Amino acid sequence: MSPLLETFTSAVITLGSPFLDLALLILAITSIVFAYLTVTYKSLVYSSIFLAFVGLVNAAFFMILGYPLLAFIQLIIYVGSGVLFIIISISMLKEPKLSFRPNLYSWVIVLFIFVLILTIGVSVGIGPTSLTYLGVFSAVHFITEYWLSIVLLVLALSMALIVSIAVSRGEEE
Amino acid sequence: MIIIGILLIIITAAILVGIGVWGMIYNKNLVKMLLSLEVSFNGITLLVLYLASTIGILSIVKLGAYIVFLGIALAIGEISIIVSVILYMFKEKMLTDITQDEVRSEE
Repeated sequence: MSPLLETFTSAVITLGSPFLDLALLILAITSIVFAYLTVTYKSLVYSSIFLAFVGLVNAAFFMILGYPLLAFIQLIIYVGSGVLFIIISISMLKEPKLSFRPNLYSWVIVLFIFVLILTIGVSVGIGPTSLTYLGVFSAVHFITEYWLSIVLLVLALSMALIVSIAVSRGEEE
Repeated sequence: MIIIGILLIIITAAILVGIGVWGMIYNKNLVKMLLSLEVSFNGITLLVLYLASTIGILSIVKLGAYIVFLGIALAIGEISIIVSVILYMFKEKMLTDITQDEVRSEE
């Protein structure tokens, strides 16, 4: 791995770094957009693919929170096998016409859950302990040591996603 | 700056769970309900790991990791079983909509 990339990785995942907040903001927006698309998109296959992206972003969150091993498990097991299983299975179905009719009650329920979880999270405390970021340095170690494996993993997952899209699209034609 | 980042994690987890529950209530298709459930699951795992890492006791940090690992394994099992049931329902009874009470005729 090049020293420039290593420096960039260390700068992004370092306690108190402004890059960390920026990275978290980008990840949060990406995660929310993909989750919304998962729920509302009309095509089931593309919804499943958006769910795979939610899983990928969640793995990045795990890495930043200090759980690199769980991030890899999320990538390999959850995204790699679970979501791909959904995509391939759905590609065997003839897609039905979907209906999505949100109303006022749904917004009230969402607001209630949002406030509840926010209250729980804030009441526990918003200051990270020194223990929280202990695993971040091992995450940097993972990225610098096993970058080739990560690149191969990303390529393999991308290829599998593209093939599943091609299979599902090919059945319709 | 750190506090903003940590708050973002809580807000993201809350919004993910909210979007998932919203989709579960107002989607009538079984597959879409399963996908909404998985969005909720992602939010819950994020929240559990955040809570475990914030408390600051090593045993609880490890416990959070164990709980999420178990959750991911259970989610995979749940996905495989539910998708198989949906495939069975679709092939045998042509049903993927939970509001359908009669067998849909093939178009």
